[in-house]
Amino acid sequence: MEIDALRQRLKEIVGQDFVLSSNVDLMLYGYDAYLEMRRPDVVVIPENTEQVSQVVRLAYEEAVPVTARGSATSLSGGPVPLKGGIVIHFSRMNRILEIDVVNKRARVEPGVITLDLQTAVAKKGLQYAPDPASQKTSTMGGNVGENSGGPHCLKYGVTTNHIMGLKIVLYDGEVVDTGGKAPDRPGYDLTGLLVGSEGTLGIVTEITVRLIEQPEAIKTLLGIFETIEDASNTVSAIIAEGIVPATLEMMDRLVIRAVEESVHAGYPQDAEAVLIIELDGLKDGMERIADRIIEICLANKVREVKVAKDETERNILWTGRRGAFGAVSRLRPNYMVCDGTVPRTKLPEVLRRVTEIGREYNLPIGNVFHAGDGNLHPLILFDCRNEEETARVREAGTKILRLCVDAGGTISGEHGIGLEKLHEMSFIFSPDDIAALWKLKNAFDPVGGFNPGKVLPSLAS
Amino acid sequence: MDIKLLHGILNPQMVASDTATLTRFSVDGLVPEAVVYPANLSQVSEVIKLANREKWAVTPWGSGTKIGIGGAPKRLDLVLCAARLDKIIDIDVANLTVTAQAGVKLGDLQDLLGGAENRCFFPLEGDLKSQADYMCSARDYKGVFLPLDPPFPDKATLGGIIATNSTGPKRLRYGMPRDLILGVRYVSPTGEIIGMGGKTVKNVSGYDVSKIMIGSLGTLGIIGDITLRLLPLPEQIATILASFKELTAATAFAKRVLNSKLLPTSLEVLNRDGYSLSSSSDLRPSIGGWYVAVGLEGFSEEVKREIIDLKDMAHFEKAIDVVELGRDSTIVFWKNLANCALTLPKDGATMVKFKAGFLISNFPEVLEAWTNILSNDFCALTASAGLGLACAYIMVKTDTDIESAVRLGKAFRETVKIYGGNMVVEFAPATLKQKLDQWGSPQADFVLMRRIKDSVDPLNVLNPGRFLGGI
Repeated sequence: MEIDALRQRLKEIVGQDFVLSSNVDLMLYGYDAYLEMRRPDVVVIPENTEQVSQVVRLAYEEAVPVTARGSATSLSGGPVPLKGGIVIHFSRMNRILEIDVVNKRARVEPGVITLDLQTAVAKKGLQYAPDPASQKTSTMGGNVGENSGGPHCLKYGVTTNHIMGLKIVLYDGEVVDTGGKAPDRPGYDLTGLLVGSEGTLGIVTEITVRLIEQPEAIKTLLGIFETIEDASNTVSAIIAEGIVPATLEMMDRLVIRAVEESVHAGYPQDAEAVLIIELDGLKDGMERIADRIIEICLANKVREVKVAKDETERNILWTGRRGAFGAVSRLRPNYMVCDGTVPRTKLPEVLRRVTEIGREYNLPIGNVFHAGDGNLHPLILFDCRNEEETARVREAGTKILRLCVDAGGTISGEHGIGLEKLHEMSFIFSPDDIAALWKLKNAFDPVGGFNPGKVLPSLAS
Repeated sequence: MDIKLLHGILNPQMVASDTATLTRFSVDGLVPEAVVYPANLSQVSEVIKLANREKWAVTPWGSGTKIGIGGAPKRLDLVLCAARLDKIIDIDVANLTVTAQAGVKLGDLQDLLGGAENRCFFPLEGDLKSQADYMCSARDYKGVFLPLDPPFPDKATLGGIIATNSTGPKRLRYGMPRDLILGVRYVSPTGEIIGMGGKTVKNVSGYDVSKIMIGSLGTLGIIGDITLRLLPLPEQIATILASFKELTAATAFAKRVLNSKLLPTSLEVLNRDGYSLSSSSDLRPSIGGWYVAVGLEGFSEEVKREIIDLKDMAHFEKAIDVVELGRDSTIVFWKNLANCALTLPKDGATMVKFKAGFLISNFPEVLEAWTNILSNDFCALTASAGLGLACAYIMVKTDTDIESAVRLGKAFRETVKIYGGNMVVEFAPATLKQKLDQWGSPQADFVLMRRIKDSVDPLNVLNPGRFLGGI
């Protein structure tokens, strides 16, 4: 079918105003927070599941690729339409369909902004635990696609631990529900497989999530360290102690300075590292655990431990962490974030080697990451207009991922493979493993129409 | 079946075909032609490749505690027993992870973990020069544990627990296998050794394959080894038992607990027969019609405060009696409940267990409806308030017993459907399963399950016919 005819058919499905095809539009919907850019042939903005189903059926009949897109905060190229085709944008499917307080469930459309859901359920005394740093912008559909993490995942688990069911459109436009509000539906855990599949298995049009009670008490501490090694030793020591805080977040000097210049969170600019430690739960016993954590910090040569006295002080500490990526992006035109993850005891060693890699490639690297999960986020700063520098960045990034794998870790903790880490998949998967993944892909999407070119490297390579 | 083919790839002591062994490994009355005991994943892989060439049907077997789950096999040539896959590969206390083979028994693993003391680690591996470079925790109590409490905790194997998605009351606080699994190595239905995930607590590299292995009843692969998250042993454990005259009071108490800030480990509502499963004499069974058991684990200050609050709440809801179980009684109480389906039946009787999942808020309605359709015989009901799960245990001996159990099961299933749920037959003699579908009817997403199975097991070698919809 000619592209104009395709656009016309799409207009018949979603309406004249919700099919975009100008040059500017196609450019705007062709990139995310990673480095690559590809233009789609057309962008559609459906209003409901039925429209998505019709769009997908048309795409199937015409053998056109389909890529789902939320707010495109993805860091691995997830929503980039690598083979062109149709981009389905979910900005109109942004309704919170139901907040069921007694059953502690919510049903949302994929275009709902993560923070909007959190705000809505907080009013009812509940919380949706996953809290990716991009929650102000990111969508629930995107969170499901990438199995997003966040600072509070140390205690509460990542997105997949909170997804109870999905409505999905299959490759031929058929619509099915997986899981649901009730537990333990017999059969394979399709929901568990779909979460984190980066839009390559199906298009999610409705999400059922689990909500939990807000904790009775929260205590937030900020540890200020003279060396990054002291801070990372503290992280390992807290976990080894058997304390599982709600969060253990680390930032190094480069990030601290960037944050202070942009959002003023009150981190000392001469510190080499800060650690945000948060406890939550029952108020009983919390003082004693906090004291024990302070002792561990002191044993690891902390300069000072600040304790947030109230909600305002707590919010200020968190503003710095949440604004860190944005703050760092002011330093140089681009940054690349590596999402390598290691067993938590390997953190000190791996961080030291990351610093060495920065020196070796002559690139500034900042660290802001989920230390308690062993999930690193080295931010390599550069200018993508400098091709030679960009090449060095890619090489250093690969080397950091290799380092994580060698330490018993993996190449992505929460940002996904996308098109960024296809090559590095071979670091952790054998050809048989990859073939096993392809069998699952083929069971869901035998024609390969959903987000082609992502997650799975081709079998030949 | 040509047994010689098996001898070609395994030592003689790893292959059994004597009548006694074969009978012991029969599945729903179907007797295999051979039982194999491979000792590593390469041997499992060889066996499965052979099964594909010879078109044998293979049923994996841990310790057999849950072999009754699922439909009768369509075919059964070979049982693959995990008894020799019993090695604990790695206990990393400082990282709070364990990696163990599928045949490891949960009880053995918990014993080992509970005494695990070494929480030392290397801060900078390359720089380690002296003992002083070790980092060690000064925690004054030792031990970690795997926060799973499925039925038959002493006998059940890790592989079996994962393959059947087996959970217990503590799931309320700690989650289920899908929340704890970090990695799995398995042999695919076509014989390849596949590894996914590892020792990191976060991982989104490739599809989350471990999720569909959980609860797939061995139809998608033979689980080899598993990496799971651990938690430090709690400082304090206790249980609050409360008895009530009426169901409405018991459920009102349970709801009050759920709507509080308290963080109980488990919250079970039991009828009188259900309470008797625990063989507990702490509360006299005659004094109440309904019971609520609240498990508590945590720091000592937390548990102390929870006990005070729970007692207040129970009295507010007009509990007849409230008692507090200490550490030892708590362990016994929950263990008896977990083992009841094996320990209670006497004189040739068998336990039948139905398990239902439904909307969390409907546990009072489900319990009430189930109670109303009960006959006068023994029928233990237990509901996990806060999870939307309920179990019914019935003792059967004669054909008449089985007929009435089938009627009850059908009626239970109809009730649960009203509350958005489903019911499976988890434990039953083969004669009952012929009359009552184990899984209930598949729904629209079954089309995907069928395609997955066909894609990974084209010759239908693994556990044919046992899973939902005849997979």
